[in-house]
Amino acid sequence: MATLDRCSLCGEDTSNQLSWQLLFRRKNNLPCCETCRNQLLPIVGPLCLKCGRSLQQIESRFVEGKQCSDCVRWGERGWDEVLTHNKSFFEYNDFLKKILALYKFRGDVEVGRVFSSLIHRELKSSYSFIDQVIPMPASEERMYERGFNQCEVWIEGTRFVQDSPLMRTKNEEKQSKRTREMRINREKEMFQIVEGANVVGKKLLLLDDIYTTGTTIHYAAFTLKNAGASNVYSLTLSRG
Amino acid sequence: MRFASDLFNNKEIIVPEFLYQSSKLPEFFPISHYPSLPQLPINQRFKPNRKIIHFLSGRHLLRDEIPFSLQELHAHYVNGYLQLEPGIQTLHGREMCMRCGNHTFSSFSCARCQRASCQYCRNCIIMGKVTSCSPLYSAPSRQYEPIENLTLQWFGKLSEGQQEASHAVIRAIQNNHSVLIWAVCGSGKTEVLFHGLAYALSQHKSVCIATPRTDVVLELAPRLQKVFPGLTVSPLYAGHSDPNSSFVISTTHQLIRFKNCFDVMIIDEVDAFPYSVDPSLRFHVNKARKQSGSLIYLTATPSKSFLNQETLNVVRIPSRYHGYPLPVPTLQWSGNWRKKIEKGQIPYTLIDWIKKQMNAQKPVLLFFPSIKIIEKVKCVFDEQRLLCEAVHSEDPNRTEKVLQFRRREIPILLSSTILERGITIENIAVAVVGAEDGVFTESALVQIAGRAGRSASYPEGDVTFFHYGKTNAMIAAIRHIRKMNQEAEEKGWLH
Repeated sequence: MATLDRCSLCGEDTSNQLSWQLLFRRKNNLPCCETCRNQLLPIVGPLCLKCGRSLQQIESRFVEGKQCSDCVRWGERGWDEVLTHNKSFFEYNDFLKKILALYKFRGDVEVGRVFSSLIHRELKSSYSFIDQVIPMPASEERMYERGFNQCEVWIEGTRFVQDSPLMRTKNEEKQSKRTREMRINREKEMFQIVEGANVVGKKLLLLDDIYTTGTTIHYAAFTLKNAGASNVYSLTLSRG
Repeated sequence: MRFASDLFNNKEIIVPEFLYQSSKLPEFFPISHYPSLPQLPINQRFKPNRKIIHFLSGRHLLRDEIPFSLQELHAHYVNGYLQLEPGIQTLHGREMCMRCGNHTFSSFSCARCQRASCQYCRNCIIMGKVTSCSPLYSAPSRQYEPIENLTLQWFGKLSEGQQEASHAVIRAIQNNHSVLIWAVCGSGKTEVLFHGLAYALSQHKSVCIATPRTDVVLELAPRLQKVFPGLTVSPLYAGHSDPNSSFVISTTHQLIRFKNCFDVMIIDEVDAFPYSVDPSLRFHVNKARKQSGSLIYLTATPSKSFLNQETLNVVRIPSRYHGYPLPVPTLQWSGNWRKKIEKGQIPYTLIDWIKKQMNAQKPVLLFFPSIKIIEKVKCVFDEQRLLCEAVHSEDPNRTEKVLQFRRREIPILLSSTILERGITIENIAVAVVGAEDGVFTESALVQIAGRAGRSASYPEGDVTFFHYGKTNAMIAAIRHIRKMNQEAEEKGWLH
C-alpha cells in the first residue's frame, strides 16, 4: 500500500519516520509528516474569551480586558448573546492557507481528512454537552462546484452526523427586486432553518474551516438563536 | 456529473442531468455507469461550431476546462463530433485514471454524482480533479491547413555528426518510426531537429516537443519561432495550457490534457528527472501522440534500460558542434571535506583550484550533493571573503542569480544538481565537490562535465571531481566521455 507511507499533506515519503509516538497515536499527533506538523501552529493562550484568538498575537490596543476589541464591537452592536464562544485550533499561516486551498479548491479530500481525528477527539472531550454538531452549510452552487462540504468531511463516519437544521438561503431573487431594507439585511438572511427542523432549547455547535471576521458564524448563530436554540458555540480549524 | 441513457437517431446516447427540464425525470447515473460508449457516426446535416472542434481537437479535457455550454457540447457529441469517456475506468480488472494512468484512488461523498463513495485521482489532482463521475471530453485530431510560404530560415552549417542525426530525424518522421538521438552535451541537438521539423510542417503534421522543464520551453519557443517565421509556436507550461497552433513546445506535465494529437513527438532529455522516475509522465506522452506517428528521443545520457529496448534505433553524435573533444574530468582526492566544512575550513585542494581559476578570470561553478551542505559552504566562503552565491531548487531567486553569474557579477556559483543541464556559460570552470555522493550518478556527472568548453572560443574547459573516495559512477562517467571522444576521433570529426 503505497499511500500508507506518504504524508497526505505534502506527499513526502514517511516510511522511515515510524516512531513509538506514531504507533501509539499520541494526542495532537496529526497523521501527516513531521515537517508538515511543525508548520501547523496551535493557538496558545491567553485567549480572547469570546472568539478564542490569541491575545498575545495582537497589539495591546486591540485587547480590552479578556476580550479582543472585535468581540467587544460585536457586543456593542447587540450580538453578545448570539454566539457563546468560538474555539480555533491553528493559526491561519501561509502553510495552512496552502493546505486549505488544496483541500477546498483543488478538492483533495484526503488532505482535509488529516484533521478529522483531531476534530473528532475534541468533539468527544470538550463538547459532549452539545445536542447537535452543524457543519457550516454551503450553497447549492458551491456544493456542486466543489463536490463536497469541507466541514462535513471532518465528521463523516462518526456519531455526530445528523440532518442539518440550517441551510443557505437560496439566492433566487435578483438584487434589483429587493427593497433597500431587504438589501441591507441581506446578509442576516444568509441562512435559514430547514423546513420541519426543530432547534428549540438545543445547544448547538457550528463547525467551520476558518473564523476570520466572524461574520458568517455570527449570522448562522443568529438564525439558530432566532429559531429558539438555547446556546450556539463554534469550532473552527483556523483563526484568521 | 450524472447522465441518463436515451436514444438519438436510433443510437444509444447519454444525456447530462442538467439538460432535462420536464417534471418526469429518468433515472440518472454517474458516467462510470456507462463504461463503453460507442463512437457515434458523424451527422453530415449538423453544422458544427468550428471553435468547439478546434478547441477540443486532440485534447482530453474535464468539463471545467472547456469554455462552452453543456448544450453545445452535447449537440456535438450526439452528432459524432466529440467523444466522452468516464475519467476512471476498469481496464484488465484494474481501475485506472484515464488521464494520468494512475491506479490508486481515494474516495469521497460526492455532491455531483450523489454517491457516498465516488473515487478521485490524487496523482493528477493538481491539474484538475478526475473522479469516477467526471467525463473526459475529446475530439479527433484534425487535419491542419498548410501554412503558406513556410520555409526554414536557418543557414548555419551542421557538423558531420549533426548531419547524420538530422537525416535520421527526417527518416523517422517520413516513415513514422522512432529514433534515439544520443548527442553529447554541446553537440547542438536543437539544430539537428530543424530540417526534420521543416519536413513535418511541409506535410501538415502536428508536432510536439516535450521537455521536463519550463525554462527549456521558454528558451526553445523563441528560437524556433525565429527559424520558422510565419509559424505559430505554442509554448505550454503551468498556467498556459491551451495551444493556438499545431506546433507545440510543452512541459511533459502539460501533455496530460492531450489525446491522440501529435504526428511527431519529440522528447527532450528523456533520461532526466522527473520523466525518468514518474511513470505517469510516460503515460501522458504516449497518450498525447498518435500511435501511428513518429517518436524522437533526445538525450546525452540514456539509461541502460532505455538502450536495452531492442527495437530502438540509436544514432550517436559523439562530437561537439565546434569539433573539439569533450573535456575529460580530473579526479582530485580532497579528504574528509565535510568535516573540514563543519569546522569552517575549505579543503586546500579545492581552495587552490578555485584560486587558479579565478586568476585565469574564469567563472567558477561548483556542484554540491545537498541543499544543507550548500548553505554551510556558503557561510564558510562568506567568512573567507570568497564572493559567491548559492542556488538550489527551492530558491525563488534562482533565475536572477544565474543571470548575475552569467553577467560575471558573481565570480563563484554554488549549486545543487539543479543546474546540471542546460546552463551554457563561456569559459566556465566546473567542479563537483563530494563527487562520491550517491546523487552524482554517471549521467549527472556526464551532464555536469558537459557544462565546460561549450563555446568555440574556449573549447578547453576545466572539470574536476573533488572526492573522498572514488566511486563507480565517477569512473563510468570518465569512461563514457573518453569513449565519445574516441568515437569522434575515429570518425575524423575532431579538429
